Amino acid sequence: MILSRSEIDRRVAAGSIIISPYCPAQLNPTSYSYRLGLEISELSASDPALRSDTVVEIGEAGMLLEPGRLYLSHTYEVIGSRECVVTLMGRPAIGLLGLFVQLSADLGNVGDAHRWTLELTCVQPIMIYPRMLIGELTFWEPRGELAYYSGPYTRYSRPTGNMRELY
Amino acid sequence: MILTGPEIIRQHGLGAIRIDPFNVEQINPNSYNFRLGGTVKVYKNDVLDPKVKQPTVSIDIPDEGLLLDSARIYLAHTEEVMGSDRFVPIIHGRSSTARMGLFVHITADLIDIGSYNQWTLQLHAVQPVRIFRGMLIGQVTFWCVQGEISLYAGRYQGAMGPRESESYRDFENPEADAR
Repeated sequence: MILSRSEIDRRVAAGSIIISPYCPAQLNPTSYSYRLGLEISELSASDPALRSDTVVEIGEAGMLLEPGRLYLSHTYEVIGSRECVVTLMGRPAIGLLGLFVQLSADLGNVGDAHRWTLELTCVQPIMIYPRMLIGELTFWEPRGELAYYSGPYTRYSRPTGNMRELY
Repeated sequence: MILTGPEIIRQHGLGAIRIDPFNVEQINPNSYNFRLGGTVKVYKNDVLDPKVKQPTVSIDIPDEGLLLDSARIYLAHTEEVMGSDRFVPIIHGRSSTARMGLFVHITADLIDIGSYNQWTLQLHAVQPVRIFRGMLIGQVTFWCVQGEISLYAGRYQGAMGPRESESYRDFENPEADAR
């Protein structure tokens, strides 16, 4: 079951869904619109065992993304839930401009809240701006006993590349 | 919870799901196949800026099909008008279109509950792909909602044909919802 707008709002108030900062004007009928964070990193190496740790700020004047490259940024908000499953997608208005906000990995884990890394790639060159509304979160009621994510990524609230320990 | 194919047929019969035109042969075990409408829009500019309204050009898909260039985003639409006040629609590619490297949406797969229109598809071809009007291009699933439902009340209600991004409205008034 997908949570409705009023149910998301109720659970944020009850503390079982964390969205911080939270703005009720960003609620949609069954989702919440989140903002782009302030930092970005461009993957420079094609070898996945090599990490790119160069993280730069997205200036207020914006930044031009080029097709054929992968950029890692993050949500402005701290997001998570120990009660329901979060999925993360792009916003329709952004998809209509050909900007991918995640690459086929849209499913979050039940567990602690942090800023989520976004995988940005574009079809045509596109400008991005810090704190722009860029994507949507949906919340799903799971069935069965809960188990919590305890992997490495929850420790990170900055754009986080792939982990060497995963290879 | 996701609706099965027979439940989609039943809810369509009860009026809780609208799919128009509806063809029972397009039902799958847990989804419905939709068709590509006849019009496509492309942006005039190469570099896109979400802060600025982007001019577009409309193209009618000719009988011999339209070859998509992998360097452009194409805004297409479903032939069907679809929507529901009770279930949340989510759009997906079909396996046969995905195997040609054709995306039917760009990470935005969620349709607002209570919105009824021809849905805009965000077509992107990894390699050049030819598309034809009326082809079965994608599928829609329907999901149950938990909690009190508030329906979509936005400006695209009843919209026909592809629509371009209005993300620039977010920057005019940061509090407005420009979905």
